[in-house]
Amino acid sequence: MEEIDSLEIDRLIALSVKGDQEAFGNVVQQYYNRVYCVILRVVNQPDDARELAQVTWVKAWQRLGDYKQEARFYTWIYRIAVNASLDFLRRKRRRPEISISSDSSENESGTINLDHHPELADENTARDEIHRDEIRRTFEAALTTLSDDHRTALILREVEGMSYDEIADVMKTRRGTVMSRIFYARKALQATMEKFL
Amino acid sequence: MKTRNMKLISKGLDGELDGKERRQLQELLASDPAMRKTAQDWEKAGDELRRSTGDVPVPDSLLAWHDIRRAIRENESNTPAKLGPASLLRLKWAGGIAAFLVVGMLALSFLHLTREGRFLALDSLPPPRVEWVVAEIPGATTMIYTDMETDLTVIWMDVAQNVDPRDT
Repeated sequence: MEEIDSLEIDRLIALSVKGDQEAFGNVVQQYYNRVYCVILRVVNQPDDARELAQVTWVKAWQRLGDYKQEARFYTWIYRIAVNASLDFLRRKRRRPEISISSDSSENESGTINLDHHPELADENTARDEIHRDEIRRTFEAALTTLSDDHRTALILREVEGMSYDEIADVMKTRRGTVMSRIFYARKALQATMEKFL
Repeated sequence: MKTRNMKLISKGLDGELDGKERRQLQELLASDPAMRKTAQDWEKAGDELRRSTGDVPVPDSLLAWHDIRRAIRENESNTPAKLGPASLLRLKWAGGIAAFLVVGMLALSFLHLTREGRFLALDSLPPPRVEWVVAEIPGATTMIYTDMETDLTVIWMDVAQNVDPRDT
């Protein structure tokens, strides 16, 4: 969907608060991908992420009356998404079994899977791709070893570019805790990924 | 490498340093190759995280919205109409007033039932009256009369000496 400016977003949100479902639909489409990616990174399962993204937006619609316009909308919606995801993981009480995968067989971008068609690429490219795939898998595995809170804080920082204060707001914790979670997440990732970094 | 210095790197990568900390980190990075290596490793890990997120296939947002809208409608049809903030406020006021009235009525009833700290019910009980007295003590004289001044019934017993009351 075409990007719209922040003033238009504010207008759409104001209409949504008044019960305009069409306006809310536009807001959903603006933020859907970002919210979905964060949830996916937290829960690590595409099907669960899709379901949680839906739960997040339904909750958002029901709670629009609580949204204060002076707060940033994306912080507000991320708070709902992150809480829903962490609650889901707590309920599940188990680690994800399969990593997110951007396995080439699931790749919808149309790129060719070198594992399946090595003859189509030259040897160096194939080797690079295999190496990249190995890094990616190791990285995914390393991410799953982090605690839910540490992984979420790191994702919000590195992928969403949120400040410590914003992450603290989303995760309902203190700024110092956020700083500490990100620090320990980085240390843990570094230890696991040592040979690739 | 000191944990404090490593935390400084982490804060630095996140752009959360103040002026003094930034100078401190710059000096550390310039003088300590291990610090520089850690900073580079963490930066690469961040790049990897962003790249892997970018690789993930995302559901079409328009189709997703259709599913969300359907879920919202199903939800609304399955749950009773939700009260808006204004209705909730009115409901809270009404509840408060009702509670106040109930408490007030109970307090008034209590006051009505009591007089000078005692329950009216106890006060209104008829004074006990002695109908008859058994005083079969050998050699004792029993007198029963009503004192006009105090309106009390007095039982007077004059027991003769050398008589054991346990004999009765």
